[in-house]
Amino acid sequence: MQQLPIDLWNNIFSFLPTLDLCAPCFTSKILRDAACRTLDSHNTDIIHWHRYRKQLPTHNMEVVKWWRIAVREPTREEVMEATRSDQLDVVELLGWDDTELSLRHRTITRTHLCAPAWCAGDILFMAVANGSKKIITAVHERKNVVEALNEGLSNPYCMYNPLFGEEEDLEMMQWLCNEHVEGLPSVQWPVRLFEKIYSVGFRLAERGHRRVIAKLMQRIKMDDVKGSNMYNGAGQGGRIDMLLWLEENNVPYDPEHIQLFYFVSSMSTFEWALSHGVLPSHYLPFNDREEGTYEDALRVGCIENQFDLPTDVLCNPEITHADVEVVRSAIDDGYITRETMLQLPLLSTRDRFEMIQWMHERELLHENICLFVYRWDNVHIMSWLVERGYAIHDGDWIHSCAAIASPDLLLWLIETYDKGDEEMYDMLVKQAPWGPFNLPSMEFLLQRKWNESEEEVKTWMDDKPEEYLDVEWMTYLWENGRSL
Amino acid sequence: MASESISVTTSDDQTIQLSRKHAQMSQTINSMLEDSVGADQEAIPLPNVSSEVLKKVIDWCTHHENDPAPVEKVKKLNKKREYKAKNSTISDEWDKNFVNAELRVIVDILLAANYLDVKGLFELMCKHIANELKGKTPDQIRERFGIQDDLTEEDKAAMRKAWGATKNDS
Repeated sequence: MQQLPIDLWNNIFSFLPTLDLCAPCFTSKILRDAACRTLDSHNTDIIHWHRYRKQLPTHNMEVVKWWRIAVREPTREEVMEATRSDQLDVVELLGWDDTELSLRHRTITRTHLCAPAWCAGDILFMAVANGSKKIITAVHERKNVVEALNEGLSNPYCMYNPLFGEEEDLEMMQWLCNEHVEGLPSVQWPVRLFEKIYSVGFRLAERGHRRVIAKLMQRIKMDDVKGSNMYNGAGQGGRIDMLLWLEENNVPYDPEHIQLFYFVSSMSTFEWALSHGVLPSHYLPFNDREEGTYEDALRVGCIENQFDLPTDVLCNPEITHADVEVVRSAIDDGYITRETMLQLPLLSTRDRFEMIQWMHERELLHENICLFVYRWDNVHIMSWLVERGYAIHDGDWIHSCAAIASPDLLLWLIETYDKGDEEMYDMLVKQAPWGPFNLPSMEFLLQRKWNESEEEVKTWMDDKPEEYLDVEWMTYLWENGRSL
Repeated sequence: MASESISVTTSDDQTIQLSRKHAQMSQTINSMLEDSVGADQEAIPLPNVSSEVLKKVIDWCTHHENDPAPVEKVKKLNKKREYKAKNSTISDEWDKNFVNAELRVIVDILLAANYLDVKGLFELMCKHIANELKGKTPDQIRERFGIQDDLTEEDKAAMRKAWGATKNDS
């Protein structure tokens, strides 16, 4: 068979999502180079793909077995993906919780040291959302689903779990309402089940799942707060039909519990909110210009209805996926000035440097912009800003920055602000008594102190015979290395 | 008046007639035709394409001869401005049967489509090979595509570090 040149592999790889570029990277030089070139083209930003966690493929057992040996241990993302795609065998291979992970990997993948990265409850939530009877039954066989659900609810991750998927699934709601459903275990759910999962109504309304909402309303006592939550969800989904349906079905609401910013995704929902007594609250988000919502919201809300936007509406705006054009129009309208402290953490990596440069050129960056930008963990952007006179104040700022910094940014802080390794390590230990440590940077400092290799220092993290790494152990390693 | 058929000579010295409509689906042949207007109509040499593969290309062109001209798609970012891979689904049933061939033949057709610059066919072959790669381990890819493992341990360690990174994108 003829071998393909690298350019053709690039064309082929343009049809593969990031996770499917993993195996080619370990196949041969030509495939690796083509895959890396494709990955580099995904981000035009100076942040490179190889610094950040990527979901690994879960297509089948073979490929999962391979990357568990050759690449790394699993994370929550892979377990949730295997659950989403109804692959019970892969879920079983990856683990029903994170207890089988090495101590280092478990520590690094947890958001909260005391809470597992995933548990049977998380898997149950995802299985319900995807209607996977096979996985729900498997959860039940391992652990009663009611118990699993309670376990899931105590996990901070579940707060973000939708429970119901994109597709309307009345059968799952019937099961959660204690009705018999073929293929699922008979369960008596707690009476207050849906009150614990507070975002259910919001998500269902956002997706327009009327039959499921009707069933839900038979199960829970509807009040202004729960009802308003559904109206907010319908607004977020841009569903005027859903708003009208909620009204027709006498779902109660209180304008004070309805947030106008949920309603800016379409003009019809925005006008519905205004005509129902909803007033501008904290801020109006900057959405994508293609939707026109920012300008429409301002026009209808502020011009036609003669609202005076509160002075703080745009002094702290959160720009999520706005493009330069949207921000430009806000500047032209006088809503962004040099006094504006932009919230940019959710801005995509593609847009960040472009936005920073663009605003700097127009002298619109707040003098304390570094206070927000450090969260991007991007040494190039930070040094670019500092070189242009934007300050990082000593003390808390540097500590906050170091707490999330990758080794390259940490080294830049040490060298630029004349910090000692010990001071930084001590701060990193103290910054994270409950949350996860910034382990890569702590390992980097340990390497420097004990003149050991990266791989050697990593092994030190797995020596502790406890569930997770703690302050005592990390302090011990700094003081003694792993000599004893 | 231009002739309704074009002669081409393949790498194995076969002379094959193809309709002008099919010939014009290849940007490469089309350019050659434009360059040779007024000249004696000799067979166009296609030294990189065998007769077996060219017949496959003609089959594909025949099935797709009434398709609208392909539009050059600009790589678009989704709402969150994140990269999204192109859709690799092959929806045309005839195309699904067409790619149901030995991988050796598929690769030859891909190379021919690239040389002849037949966009739709090239894209179809890329999609098919991309789908072949999905869910395969490096060993399986090497075996399927006859590729040698020329990566050093250092190369693999570097990739292990890149793909094993545990820091979340902020």
